[in-house]
Amino acid sequence: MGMPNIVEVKNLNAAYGQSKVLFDINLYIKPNERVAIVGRNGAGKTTLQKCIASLLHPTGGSVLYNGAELVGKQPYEVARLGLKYIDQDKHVFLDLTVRENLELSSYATGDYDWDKVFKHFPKLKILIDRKGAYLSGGERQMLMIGRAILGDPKVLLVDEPTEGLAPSIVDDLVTTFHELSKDCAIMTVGQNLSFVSRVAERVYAMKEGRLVAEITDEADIKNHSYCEYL
Amino acid sequence: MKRFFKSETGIIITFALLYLLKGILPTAFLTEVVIFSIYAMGCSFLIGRLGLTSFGQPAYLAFGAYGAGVYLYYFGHNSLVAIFVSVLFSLVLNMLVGSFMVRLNSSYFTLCNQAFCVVTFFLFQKALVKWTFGDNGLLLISRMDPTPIIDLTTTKGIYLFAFLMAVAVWFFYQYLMKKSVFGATCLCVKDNEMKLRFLGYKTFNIKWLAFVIANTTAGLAGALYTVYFCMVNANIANVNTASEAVAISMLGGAGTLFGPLVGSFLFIGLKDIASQFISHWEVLVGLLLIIVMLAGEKGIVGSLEGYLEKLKEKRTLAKPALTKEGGL
Repeated sequence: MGMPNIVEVKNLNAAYGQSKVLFDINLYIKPNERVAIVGRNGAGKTTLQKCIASLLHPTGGSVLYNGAELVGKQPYEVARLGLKYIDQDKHVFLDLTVRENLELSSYATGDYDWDKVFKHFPKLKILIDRKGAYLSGGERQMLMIGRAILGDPKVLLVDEPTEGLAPSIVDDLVTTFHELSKDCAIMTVGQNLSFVSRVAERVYAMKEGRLVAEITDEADIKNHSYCEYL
Repeated sequence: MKRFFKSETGIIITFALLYLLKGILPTAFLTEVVIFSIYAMGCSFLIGRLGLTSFGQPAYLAFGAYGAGVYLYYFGHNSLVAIFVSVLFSLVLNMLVGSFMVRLNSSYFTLCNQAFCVVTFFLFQKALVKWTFGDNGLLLISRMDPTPIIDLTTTKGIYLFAFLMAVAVWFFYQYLMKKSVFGATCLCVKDNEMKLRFLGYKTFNIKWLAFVIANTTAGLAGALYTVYFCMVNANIANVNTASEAVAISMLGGAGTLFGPLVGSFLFIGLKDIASQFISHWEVLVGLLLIIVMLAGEKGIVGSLEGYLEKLKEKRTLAKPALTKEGGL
């Protein structure tokens, strides 16, 4: 018998007003697993992550985290349970320094062990007194992930982590995700197939609000064979 | 310079200088400036730190003013106790009002506060006229006993007391804005409330607490007003004066530590000087506000701080931050 699922999505439906965007989504994430969701623009990838993080209330279905229902909970409750969402806009708190950004997360989680943040992102230690407004895209991504891993979350939902980043930074991010997955599961959403193939152990393909394929074979993931479904 | 003015020493020196100005400027003017700056501090905090603009500040000022007024008229004669009672009264009312006001955002928050101000004005002017005496107000001149240590029935006493209160308020807000996680979370609510929720914060509590703190500060100013003028009437809650606190905050620099003080100084100064020559002195305040806003939307102190910060950042950025093992 395998490990129990840490996240389980069952028959999830979501809509923005009258327009339905997710149709009967079923998926799961195992502890310490790296899962990717791929799809074209408008496929519903971000909406799916937002539903899991309770930023958007689904119109039907359920999201279970360690067996507990997340639908109906507030985003801060979900974050406190250990499921952190990192969105794609690379928005850190601009008026706060790196130190203050980290302190904010530490205060919320009670976790002041910044060494684990600096272990993954040593550059943050150098930039500790720099304001968020003066960080580059890569540095902001580091800070957002660094903030999220305080409190030892069990699941990280990362939306388009490579968007707007230089290839060398994306390479570092691959290594970082592999290291992070020793402590938590990661669900990433993206269109950067090269990144997905190097990071994901399992890939879900989405098209027009539906999950159309689940790719578990390593060779298929490496060959981007899921593209035929998109 | 910026660090100096944000430090505790900066607060003490600034207020000491302001206190010494009583040799040059009229005490009445300075007292009014100090009380008004306490009033504007809460509003400035709400605008600058939370991004919540309230056109209902006179209502919260009136809570404090009537708290002290009603106590002195009906229950006791000690002004210090009256101020204490009015702050408590304000605190309780703001806790109640805040619990529904902070559910609103942006324009809805602004307009609902204004509507609440109209309701409060009506309450004090008409509905509770039997106890508040409406526009005539509560006259307290013969109902205030001299208080020990600082006699609040004298001009000098109330001036000194208002100054001490202002210094206490400034220290409190300095801690709140610069040294507390709560202050940082307030700034983050303004910046990106949803992001703060991702980190596990219940933003309603943050906004509610900020609302209560800011408007209880206004309540304290209201109590000082009542004791200073020895009277309170319904006009203190008049919605026509709702823009004053906002204008002062914007003029000085919303969310800055010294902005409300600078704004109050200019506002009361213009009112006192210009009103001797032109009846519609508010025109000058309006023009000044437009000029200051066009110069950077940060107010006088905010612009100055921004300029100093740029200089500091230039120096920081000049130092290389990248190293070989720097990571991403």
